Amino acid sequence: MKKVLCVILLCMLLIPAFAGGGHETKEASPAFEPESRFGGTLVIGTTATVSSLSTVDMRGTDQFFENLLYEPLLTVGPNGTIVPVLAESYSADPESLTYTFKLRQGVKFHDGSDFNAEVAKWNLEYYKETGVYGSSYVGVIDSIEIIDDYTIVLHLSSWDAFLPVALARGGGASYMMSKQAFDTYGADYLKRHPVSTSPFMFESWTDGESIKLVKFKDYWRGEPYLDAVTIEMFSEAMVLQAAFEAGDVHIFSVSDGDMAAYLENNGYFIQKSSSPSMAYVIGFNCNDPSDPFSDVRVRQAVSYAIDSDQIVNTCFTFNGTVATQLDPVGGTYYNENINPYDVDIEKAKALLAEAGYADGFTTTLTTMNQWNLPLPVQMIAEQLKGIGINVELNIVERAQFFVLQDGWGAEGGMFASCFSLPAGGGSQIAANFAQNLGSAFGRTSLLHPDDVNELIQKAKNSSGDESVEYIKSAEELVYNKYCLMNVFAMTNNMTAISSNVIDSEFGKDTGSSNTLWKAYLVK
Amino acid sequence: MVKFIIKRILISLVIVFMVSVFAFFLMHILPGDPVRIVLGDEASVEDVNALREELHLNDPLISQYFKWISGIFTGDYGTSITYMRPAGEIISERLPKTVSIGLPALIIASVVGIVFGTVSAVRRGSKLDSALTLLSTLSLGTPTFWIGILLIYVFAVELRILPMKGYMGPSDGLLQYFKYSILPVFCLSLNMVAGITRQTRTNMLDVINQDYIRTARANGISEKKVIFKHALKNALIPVITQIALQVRVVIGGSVIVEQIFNINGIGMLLRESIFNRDYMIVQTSVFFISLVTVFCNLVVDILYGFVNPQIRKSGW
Repeated sequence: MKKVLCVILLCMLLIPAFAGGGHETKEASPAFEPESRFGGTLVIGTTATVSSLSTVDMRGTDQFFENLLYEPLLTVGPNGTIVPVLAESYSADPESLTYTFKLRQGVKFHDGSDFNAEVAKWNLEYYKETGVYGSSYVGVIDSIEIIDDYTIVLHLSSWDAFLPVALARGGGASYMMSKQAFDTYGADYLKRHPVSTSPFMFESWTDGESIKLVKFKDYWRGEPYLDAVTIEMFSEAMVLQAAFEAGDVHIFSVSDGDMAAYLENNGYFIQKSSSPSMAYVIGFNCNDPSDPFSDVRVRQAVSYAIDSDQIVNTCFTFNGTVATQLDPVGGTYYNENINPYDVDIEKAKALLAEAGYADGFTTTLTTMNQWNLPLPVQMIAEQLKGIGINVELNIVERAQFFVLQDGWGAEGGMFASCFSLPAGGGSQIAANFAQNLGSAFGRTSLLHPDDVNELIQKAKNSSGDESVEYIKSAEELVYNKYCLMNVFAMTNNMTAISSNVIDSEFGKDTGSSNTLWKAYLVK
Repeated sequence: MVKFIIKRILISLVIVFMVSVFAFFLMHILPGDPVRIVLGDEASVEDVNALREELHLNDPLISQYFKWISGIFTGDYGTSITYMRPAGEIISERLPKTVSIGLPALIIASVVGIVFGTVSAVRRGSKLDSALTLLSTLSLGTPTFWIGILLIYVFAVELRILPMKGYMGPSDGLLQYFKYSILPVFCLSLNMVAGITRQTRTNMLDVINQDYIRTARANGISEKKVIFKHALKNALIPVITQIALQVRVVIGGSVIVEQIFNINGIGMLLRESIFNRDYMIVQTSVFFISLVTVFCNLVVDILYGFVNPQIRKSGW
């Protein structure tokens, strides 16, 4: 009996050990001759799910599917810059409250209809009217004027320097659907049968299992090499990883740094996005006078006590960087005058004593049980013990977190969250620290000082470098003067790409940005 | 007997009503705003309010409850917040997948469990009994997700003889159905087999030691007849109750098995809907799962009443 047991247990231990090896250790590179290219089907795995394939129903988290099913007017390019796709160019005129878009010519939808000004106008209007972020993203568009077949002018009700970001980010605002398909089949049809201009045409969708796309020969950039693209949905990340290692999946977004490190150590290529996609922040309850965090010195003390290096080295080893603000070094809104709040325990203690909390105090740190937040939050709680602040963790699920985030004042203490950075941190500063916000991080608890608000309004009312400078000035107030928020880390998106996939550039700029029209598989 | 049946039916109706109340109010008590979850934290208040109005989420809770429960009787189960489609349509799409995995698992588990339990009891103390007891203890103690992932690794990744994930129904061809369902059915039935084996073994041991079995043996009735005709028949009554309780898995699915093998059934739908606070899906699914479970128990109770008049007379 004992022998049988030993054999069973040994087998269980040995199977994974044998299974690990034997893979090629080649990074994806375009060093193959054209004749070695062949079509085939590229399989992209994901743990994401989608409930509708229409642009008007897509949310920020659906961008993975959007970028494979549709093409937008604008998108987020290298280092968070805004680059045109179906628009050839765009120009801003703050004085006349207009954005002018020159559209790309010779673009066809999968149903053979042309992409032109009329279609672009219809898409934006339809999105504003029925899109889930209709008022959030494009509510500022008052009317759309067609100048010629390939030029439209967006007339705004008030100037918004961040409109291009709203059009470029996930959520569907500028992804283009076929008007002809809509007119012929109706809105419900497009929820399950997207008709777009992308290099791969929709073929079928098995809910929660897969979406199959086939090559669109009349694609405006030229006929794709690949015959088809299949998006395989997995509900379990470990199974997806196993499928990738077995060669059944060519590309997948890796959400876990440890998994990415394991894959890289085993010779797989991990593409990190060119700019960070997420920022990890701590906000303070500043508006309640009975909360210690209403005193800026306490907020600063906490910032001096948080050891970001330690957090990044422990929690975000593979894809994280220490951060001091919502933009990485070299980013559009990066401000070198921001106080880095280098760890200084003595200074932190002195600030606490000055604020009347020499013996420390007990407070709450609320966060969500996802996005790798719990571990860094636990570390922060430990670090703050060093200056006498006893932190009680309140880790809640996503649904509760969103409610708390809206009306956070009652919870008090600190709040840890993740900010998505669609195109740098400028839009996040504007979206969270302006006054009279409908919803935002710490809407009821963060201070929204007049001077910060004024700079944000000036940034919104200007464009280009001028707008950037206003945001940078607002950042100095947010981080240095008021210490309203502590940004302690940033992470980049990670994509595992099989060595036989060439030129996909999947996940290079954002999580699902790609150049699949020129991608190919090698045998 | 009629009085007994009417009483059981009335009790069942009360249970179903109470489940509907609990399912509705528990979901609404849970902290979290479904609209905020669906739209994300960057949506404007206007967008959030517009969707709340569209879904009647600003109506008083009582009126929302009556709207939903009256809809149940007219076939209008409300709209899924996540999918923006009728909840009934989504549930009816998912149900066949869950049933086509759950039903074979239950049948296999029942047959295998009863056979193992009987053999184990009859051969009490033998090596076979020890092996079967060990296996059932291991099955009960080993996490299903671990077994599932191990099976995928061995059969799909290494041996490559079975698919890694997904679902093919019997209508896609029996061979395909068999290939796709063998691992999830095995995983799902493992716990059930263990439970039924243990239950059967315990009951059989109780029955085998009873005087009437000894008398039957003393009267020279063959061992086979004693076991199958006299002992097993009586030992199976509690086992059938246990099997009836497992019917909820056939309808409600196993969240873990569906998650690992990517089967888009009711289990996955429920899990996702609870996280997304998709009220209509959760309420309606829970309502129907409870309805089927209560119905199965009702049938079992009534059968007990027929088989054992003592139960009928006691009124319960």
